[in-house]
Amino acid sequence: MLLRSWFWLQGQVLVQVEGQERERLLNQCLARGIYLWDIRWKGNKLYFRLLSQDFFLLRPLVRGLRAKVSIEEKIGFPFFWRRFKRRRTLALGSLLFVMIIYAWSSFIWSVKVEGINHPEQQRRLNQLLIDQGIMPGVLRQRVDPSLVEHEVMTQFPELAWARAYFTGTIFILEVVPKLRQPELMQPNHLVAGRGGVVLDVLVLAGKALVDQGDSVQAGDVLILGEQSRRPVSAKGRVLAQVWHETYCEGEAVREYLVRSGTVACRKMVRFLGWELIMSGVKEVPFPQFELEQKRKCLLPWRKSSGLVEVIDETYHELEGKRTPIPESDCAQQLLERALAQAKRKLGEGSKIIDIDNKILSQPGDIPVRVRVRIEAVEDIAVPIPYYPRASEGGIGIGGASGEESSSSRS
Amino acid sequence: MQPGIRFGKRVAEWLDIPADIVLDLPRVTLVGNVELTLENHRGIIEYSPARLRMALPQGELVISGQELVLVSLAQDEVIIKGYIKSLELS
Repeated sequence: MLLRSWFWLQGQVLVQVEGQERERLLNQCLARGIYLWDIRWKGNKLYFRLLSQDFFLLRPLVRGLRAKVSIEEKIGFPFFWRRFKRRRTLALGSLLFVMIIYAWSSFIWSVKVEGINHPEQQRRLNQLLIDQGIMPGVLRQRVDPSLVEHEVMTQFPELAWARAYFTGTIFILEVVPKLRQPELMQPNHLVAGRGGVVLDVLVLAGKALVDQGDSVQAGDVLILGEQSRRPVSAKGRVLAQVWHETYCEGEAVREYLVRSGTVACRKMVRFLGWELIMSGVKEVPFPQFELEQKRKCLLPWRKSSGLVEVIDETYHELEGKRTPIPESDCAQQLLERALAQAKRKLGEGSKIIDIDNKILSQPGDIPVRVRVRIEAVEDIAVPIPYYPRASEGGIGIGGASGEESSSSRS
Repeated sequence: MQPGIRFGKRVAEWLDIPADIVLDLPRVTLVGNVELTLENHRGIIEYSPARLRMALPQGELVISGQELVLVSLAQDEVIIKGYIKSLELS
């Protein structure tokens, strides 16, 4: 194989021999030290291969014989190179092709995050990669995968392992999330998260300390984490009537922005994401402004925005205006705002029973003041862990698993 | 056997030297029936796809077969490939 490669580098010819005294020709080649190989018959013609430089030694041998020799094929690097030299454009194109492929392979073409299915975590990881400067079009040399791994492990404590690497022009971040640890049996009470009037108590584990109609304050124990004098993790639901109140005030004016008439212009050229200001202001001189853009593509390419764009930008200065509005309209807006704030305070699964809107200010008062009170029914039970005394069953972790009793008092 | 060859054979046996070196004999290596290597030959007498006659220092070697190809032809060694049916030394 090595010898054949050497023959290819030196250049070889496939020779066809016709006529008589062909064995004699082979013997004469032997006698003169001309190395021949791949000697075979095809039909009534004899073929063999020899080095291209030895072919000229054949001529004096053939002259004295009744044989005719012709070259059937030229094989090897010298012949290839001769053809290549004649076609300079092809040579230049090939060189350019190799250079472009090399240059393009130095950039990141795509970024992949593997091993995570949660869309929110995926979005955060993608954002982290963008913050680290890892995105399509960035030079591979500028990216340090070990640094990315470190950053991911620092910012995502919920991950157990991360590995960043390149596969060609693709940047891949592989992560493995931590397995959730089994929850330890921690005894706890259920206490009131907010004050209210108890409507219904459902106990799954523990001992109820409140009953229907009781008024409770935030922090009061509702269900005790104890059963048959053993500490347990209290479970249950305590529905209570609660009130959420919010207050808002504001002036009966409408504030809006209008163009003052002052404008600033600039013209710039955008090329492959780089922007170059050709004329006009460099910094926008207004704190508040409205922007008008006119884009013109110099080299349009299919449906894309084009490689080179000329952008005309006009900045209009905006100034604030205040117009008085009727107090009733203002009060209505404030009530809507207060209601939205009150609804945000509602717990999960709350049911609104009544909404009480009240305008506190008198006509002509500045500012206009409103109050919204929401009456709702919600589960106010919040678990609070506790550590029982040794006499009550040790530290309590993995403690009593007394038989679950459920009782509904309504 | 000629007297010179007889003497050479005795010397080779006595000195424990391979006979092909001392007596200028050809060495034939056959790999199954597909490849034959012949060392110390004296050239080609006749060559066709079915028959190859090689000249040896003493006599000739006739190789019969099918699709015989001279893979390599050098002064001291020739390698033949194909379906070799018979060898005959004469």
